[in-house]
Amino acid sequence: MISYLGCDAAREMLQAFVDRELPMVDQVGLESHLRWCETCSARVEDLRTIGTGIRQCAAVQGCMPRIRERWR
Amino acid sequence: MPVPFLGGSVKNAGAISWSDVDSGEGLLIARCAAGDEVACAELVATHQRMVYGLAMNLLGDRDEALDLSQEVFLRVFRTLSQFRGQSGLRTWVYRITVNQARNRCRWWRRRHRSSQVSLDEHILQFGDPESKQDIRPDRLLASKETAAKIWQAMERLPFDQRTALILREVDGLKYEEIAFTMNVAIGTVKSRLTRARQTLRGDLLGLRS
Repeated sequence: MISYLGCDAAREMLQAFVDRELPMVDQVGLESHLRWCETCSARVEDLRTIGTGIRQCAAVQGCMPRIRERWR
Repeated sequence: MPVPFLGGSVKNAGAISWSDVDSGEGLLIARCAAGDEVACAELVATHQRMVYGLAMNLLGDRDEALDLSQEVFLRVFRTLSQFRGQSGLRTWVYRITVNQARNRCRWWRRRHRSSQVSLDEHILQFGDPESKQDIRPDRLLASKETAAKIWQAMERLPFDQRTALILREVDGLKYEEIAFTMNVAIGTVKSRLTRARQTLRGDLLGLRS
């Protein structure tokens, strides 16, 4: 049986969910929540967009040239 | 019966022994520690791409990244005799790379006053993006432009937050491995990732402008 998960509890789990670090039982509960909650689904999508963006830029070495300058 | 070492999983230092380390990796380490140049070259060849990539992502400068890579491997060979298999060799090399990069950033900061603003100061000035998120229903849109903005926003993150995020998103390390690499508790890793992502999301949604 999947217990009801409110947004507050779900929000605590979103990062671990995106990072694939959530225990299976919590993952099932959260996926159920995400099916009807657009707000939490949007947050998950944003977290994934951030991850994708970081990986895209990291794939092009030299994408972050200004870090050193900021310390000068 | 010893538990075979599984890729990147990390154990408490007191709970491991050499028998936990993959036999091939253990042999390579032993050969390196004995001064076998072929083994040393093999270790470098196996990890140099990872070390340079992480150094590049943390420092943002090719020359610095190359320089740091050399420092890392010198450090690896100098301290190899202290390695006891508390993590995979790869995770241990990650740890040395992060430590060396952090030292270099501190060195820069001491000589060139940082223009970075702490997150607390930033929140004080512009507000907490997390508290405004539900007011602004904006969404991040995946695009090259967004990716470039994300990377620019990464520049403004504190070193430890940026490092945690790079280790997670680029190198694909688990929380446990990031914790070992950064020598902090898993809870600290989670909070650094949370703050980093909140900051990036807030910046990208324009909540601080």
